[in-house]
Amino acid sequence: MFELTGLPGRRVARGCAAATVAACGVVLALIGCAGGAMAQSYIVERDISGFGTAGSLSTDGTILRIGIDDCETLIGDEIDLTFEWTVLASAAGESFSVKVGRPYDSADCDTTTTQSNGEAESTDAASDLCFGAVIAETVSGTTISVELDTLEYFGFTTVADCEGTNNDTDVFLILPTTDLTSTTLESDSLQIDLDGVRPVAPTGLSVNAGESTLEIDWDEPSEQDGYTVYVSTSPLVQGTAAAEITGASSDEVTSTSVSFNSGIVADQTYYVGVTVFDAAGNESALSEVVQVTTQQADDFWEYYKGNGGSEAGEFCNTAPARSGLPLALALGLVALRRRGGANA
Amino acid sequence: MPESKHALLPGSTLRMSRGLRQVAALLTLAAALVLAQAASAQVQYLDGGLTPISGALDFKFGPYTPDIDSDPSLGGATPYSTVFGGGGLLSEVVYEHHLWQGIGTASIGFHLGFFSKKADALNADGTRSADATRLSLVPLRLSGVYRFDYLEERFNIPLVLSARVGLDYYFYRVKGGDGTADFSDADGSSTGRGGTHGWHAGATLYFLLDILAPNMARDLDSATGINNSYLFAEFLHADIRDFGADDSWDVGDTTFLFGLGFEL
Repeated sequence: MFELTGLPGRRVARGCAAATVAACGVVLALIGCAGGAMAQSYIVERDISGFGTAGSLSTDGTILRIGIDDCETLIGDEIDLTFEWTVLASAAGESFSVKVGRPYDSADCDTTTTQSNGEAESTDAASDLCFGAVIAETVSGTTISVELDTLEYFGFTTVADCEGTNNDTDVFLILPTTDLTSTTLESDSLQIDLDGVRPVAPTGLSVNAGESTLEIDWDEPSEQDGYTVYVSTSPLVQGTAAAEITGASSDEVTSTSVSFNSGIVADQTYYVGVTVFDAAGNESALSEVVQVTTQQADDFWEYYKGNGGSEAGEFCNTAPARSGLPLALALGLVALRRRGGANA
Repeated sequence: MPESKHALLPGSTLRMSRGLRQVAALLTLAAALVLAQAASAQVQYLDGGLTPISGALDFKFGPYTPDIDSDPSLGGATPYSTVFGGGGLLSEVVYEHHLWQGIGTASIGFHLGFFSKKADALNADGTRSADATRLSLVPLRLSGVYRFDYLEERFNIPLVLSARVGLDYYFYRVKGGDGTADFSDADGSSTGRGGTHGWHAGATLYFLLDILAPNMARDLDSATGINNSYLFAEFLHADIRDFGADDSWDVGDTTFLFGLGFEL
């Protein structure tokens, strides 16, 4: 356990309520993951209007989602985080005792309360001892960077650990608050949401086959951030993991109704299935599979011509006209030109 | 004689240089005039204007049903109605260039239109397919126009009657599920793209909007060169069947169009 150097026993304000609020505005910036495994930008700016009147962070925007594929990539790698904060002009150039840490899973540190609006809020922890330091430094600037060892931070040892469970944790930036000699601390947090659960496959799939188009519809699931439509001339199997679907054409879409016409030909049997992926990028298994066969259809031209329509589909119709109007017009023009020439 | 557009017409060099501004101001004018107080008590419409008039620009819209099903070679079949079910919206923009002004105005008109209708294709059993089909028409017209604006000029009666007759050429394109439609049978093949000649005649009744907001109309004229603004209704008969050629359909119609017109 790490105690914040030079600030023993001080009160730690946690989360975004910040009634006592910030001596400094805080900006958290997630720069990315080491080795280019992941590149994300993440900035939340705190109100720095003044001591004791600072506003709250927008916690909705303080979530870093890591899906199964990302997690597998990160095993053995690090997540690089950079926290930034802004200080008032009067505090410029001062040094800060800064700690980036994670909360211990301790009942003593679980101080979630309910706000007047009914929303849960994490309030002041009992002490900074509730936080295990990832890094603690005296910083003269306004940024601090930290590398989170994924394996250690999440307790994962193999790629297989990434799938099947959700693992949410917070990373806290802990700063002195009110002023540089304050006896209280201020913290802001970034939630790392390691989402290892795949969404449930869509249901209600229906397909209407035309000659060169498949109209595909399905029900909207409760959790979705997009879909992938799979179309194949070979049978597809419900429940197949997306990574194991081979030989199918696919199209990523965001609506539950699509017209699929890539490579569709008449008189051919197709197998159609859909997957959904969530906000963390996890893709579900394949939905139920619908088998359809395209059939010949008449567009308007085919239907018109098939019923004996005479229009030839030409830009200049040279066929004899029953009407004498064109001839009359032509003769009229010739006569006018001759009259004009005579007058000249 | 009041300050008249007639007096200002000859020899002016202003009319062409203002063309772009005139066009840009048309939509603004339309909205402004609608919002103008129609009940203005001291109504006196702006007779003539501050700037010369060289032509008119009309925007018109109306229902249109190509008379394709009248093709005798169809033997009573109604492919257009069967596939599309009904008509669509014809939109046209017309520029009329004034050639002569005396008792009324004679002009030559250039029309550019657009019509499009989409429906699901038909399966062999008559049910609807997932494939779509679309018929698009781009009518081009050349009109001789006579505008009887004498009553407006002389007696401030805010009505203008015009008649037009002229030649037409309609580009058409039929699209199927995967592009331009085509058809093949023992007699050969054809593509659903081409053009059809024809003629048209029409009559239009214009209502001068300037009487509703004369000051605004005057300001608009001064700023943009738009002299007069009209609401109008037009009767149109278009006979578009290659003047009766044997291998032609008829994409004409007899219909009413409505729109906004501006004398520039």
